[in-house]
Amino acid sequence: MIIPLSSLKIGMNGIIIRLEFEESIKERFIAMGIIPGKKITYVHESPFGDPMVFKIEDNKIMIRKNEAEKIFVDVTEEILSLEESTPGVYKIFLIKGGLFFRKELENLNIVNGSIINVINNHFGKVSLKVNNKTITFGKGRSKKILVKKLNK
Amino acid sequence: MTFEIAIIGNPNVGKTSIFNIITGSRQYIANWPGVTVEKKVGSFKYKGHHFKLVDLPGIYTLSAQSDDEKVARDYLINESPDAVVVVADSLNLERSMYLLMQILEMNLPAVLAINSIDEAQSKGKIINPSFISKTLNIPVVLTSAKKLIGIDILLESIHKVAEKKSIPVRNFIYTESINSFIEHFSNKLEEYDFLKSYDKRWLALYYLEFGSKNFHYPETLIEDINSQFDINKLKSEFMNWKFSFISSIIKSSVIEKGRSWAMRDILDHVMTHKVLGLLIYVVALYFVFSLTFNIASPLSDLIDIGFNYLGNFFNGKIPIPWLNSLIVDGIIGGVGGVLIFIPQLFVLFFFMGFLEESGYLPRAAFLVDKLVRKFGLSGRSFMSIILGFGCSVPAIMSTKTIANKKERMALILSIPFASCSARLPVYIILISAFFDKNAATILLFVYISSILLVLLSAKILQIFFIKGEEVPFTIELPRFRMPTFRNLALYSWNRGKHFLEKAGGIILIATIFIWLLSYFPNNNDISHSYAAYIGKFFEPITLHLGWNWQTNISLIFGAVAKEVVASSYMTILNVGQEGITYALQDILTQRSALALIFFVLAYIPCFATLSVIRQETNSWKWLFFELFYTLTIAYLIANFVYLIGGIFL
Ligand SMILES: Nc1nc2c(ncn2[C@@H]2O[C@H](COP(=O)(O)OP(=O)(O)OP(=O)(O)O)[C@@H](O)[C@H]2O)c(=O)[nH]1
Ligand SMILES: [Mg+2]
Repeated sequence: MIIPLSSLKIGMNGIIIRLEFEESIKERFIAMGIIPGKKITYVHESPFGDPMVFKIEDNKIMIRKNEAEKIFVDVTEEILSLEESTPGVYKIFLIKGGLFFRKELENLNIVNGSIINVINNHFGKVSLKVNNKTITFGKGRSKKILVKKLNK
Repeated sequence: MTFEIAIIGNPNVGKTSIFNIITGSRQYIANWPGVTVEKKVGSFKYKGHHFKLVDLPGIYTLSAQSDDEKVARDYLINESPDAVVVVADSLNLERSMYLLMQILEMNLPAVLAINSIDEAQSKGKIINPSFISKTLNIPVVLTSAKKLIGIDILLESIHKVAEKKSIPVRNFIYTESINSFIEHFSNKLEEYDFLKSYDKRWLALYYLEFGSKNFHYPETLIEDINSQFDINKLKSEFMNWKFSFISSIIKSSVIEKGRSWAMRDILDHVMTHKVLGLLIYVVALYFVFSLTFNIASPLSDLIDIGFNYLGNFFNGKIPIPWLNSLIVDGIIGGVGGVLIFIPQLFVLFFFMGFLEESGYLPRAAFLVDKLVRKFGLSGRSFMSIILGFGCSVPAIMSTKTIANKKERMALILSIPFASCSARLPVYIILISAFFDKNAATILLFVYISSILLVLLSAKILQIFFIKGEEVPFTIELPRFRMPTFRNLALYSWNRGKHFLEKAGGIILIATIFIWLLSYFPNNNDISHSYAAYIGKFFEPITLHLGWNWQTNISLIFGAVAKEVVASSYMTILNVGQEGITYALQDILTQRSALALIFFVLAYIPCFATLSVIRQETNSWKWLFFELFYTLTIAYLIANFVYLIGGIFL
């Protein structure tokens, strides 16, 4: 699936496909290492979600959202936040947020890699099943949990 | 004869570090992209030959955007050095090769130095230089400017290339259509006499990559070419050729074990953390200020004792009264009054050195970019503002890398509001005298206000400038590096040396001047001296702030260099470091001292700053504007603080 760089979730990566800038700007990005065919990972997010820091090989580059929207990448696996999920089976990809939040989820048997079953999503208020237990997260919390959709 | 050798490469790969080692100089090095903004020249001898070495600003590509990048590009296009050392980063080899290819297309005699090889080793990355060397037909050397690896071999290669004169033919095998384009283009060029001296194949490729913008191609030529070829299609074909060529070289010459740097990754996550990132900075700043008062101040008392001793030693030994006073009160008192702050300044320089060498600065730029955009600035500007805490001069120089003219001009004129190290002595004597209990907090407050002042000023000033070219702002976050003690010491020494030179130069002259004005015309009767007359002249506009003539005359001399405010207080009040507290409490109140602190923060940039403003804005108009502007703002703020102070103090 081809999406703009700006839609990547933290920790996610993709292969650079194309840059949609005018020639001189495009050439500059390429010279900085944003080369089609390379793998790029979203590694640091800023307080306002803009700008974003990406990693290519050993190099970290800060790009503003405006520009990230014009760089397109191919992502093999789709990662989304629980808030955006529709009913189905998911694997936990990443839990953002502090130590306490993670500890709390761990007690509910939710860690990276656990399989969950989303039952319904009511405007971000998500009910899901883990190990036959049903849990509900509010919008704020479900935003912080990134999941990967598993094939139906 | 002398060989001319140029150093070129991506930003922050270690060009200046290598330059310093080879030439034995001490040019400015730091761990963020864009440190070198001007051409720097040095020299060295090797095997009996003289070499001139030119260090250039870093560039990613020959299509330069900002003024510093133009310096490097124009050098490559217009000069013909005997060898070009292309410095690459061993952990970002592929990207560095892109620029290298552009340089090889120009048919320049090149040497490739793959630097920071120590870091590649610690990551388990192995590079085979001989494969790259054979493929590109250039010498390739693995170097480390930190561990001093490969420098001898580099010199030997430079020497060989420079002496050879003829450039080895590099026949890259381009695609069919690119070849025929080059062929046609070069043939056409024959028709133009004034292009005879240029390399024809290069002009063809340069046109393919960058169009007609950066070079004076004749109109008729362009028309002909555009009618015969689909340039855009050829261009992307050329780019693709280059990518696959580069990655085939990398594939055959690099082995990666991919050992990870877990510790650095964790550190980086903390430093770029949404909340912690800036909090750490503020806490560190607070810590530095506490050190300033608690650790450094006792040291400076010691120095003060030394100067007192020196003063007492000379006092009375010189039979001519005025000369005795000049040496004891003027020179020893005045210059000493500045030198005693060396410990505090070194604490600050050490901290600044840590920010610059660790790689924190671009991370701060990342964290605040969105925020400072509201003030018409970018994260890059914020880096320059933080640099301003050290000294305004390099901070203003560093704005050269800002491509947006409007942002740059507003920033140049606002950076003097960033509280530079020279203002620290003045804060210290005032804060010690009036706010001893929460000294570090007050100082932190002053510094944070100073950032706000810069931001607001930049916002306001931007109405004066026409909109510059909008260019996307991106910046590379360099790898975290633990600053070595040696580098920090060198950094602090470089900054400290500048301070000492000032003390022996402009501050000494100012001090003698102050002494003259306070000694004459009534032989050492200060309250009836010229200094008093001048100071009293301004009292009508300063008395309501609680500043009498002693303060006024100190401020006037402080326009030369801000630390002079502190030293001239000592001369005029005729006291040293320990006496200054009581002497100040006699002539100022808490409220007026706070107003004074803010006045000193904002008023007139020192001579050195003014001259760099003149140079970078290239106009006298802005210099005079700056004088008037800072003075007005400072006076307004002082009045404001005095008013507010009336409520709280
Ligand atoms: N570990 C390691 N660090 C290095 C080496 N060479 C340079 N550095 C560090 O890399 C950073 C950048 O060095 P500079 O010499 O300022 O780089 P530059 O290429 O001149 O940078 P610009 O002038 O900004 O383009 C500094 O923090 C150096 O200490 C090296 O061989 N190994
Ligand atoms: Mg440099």
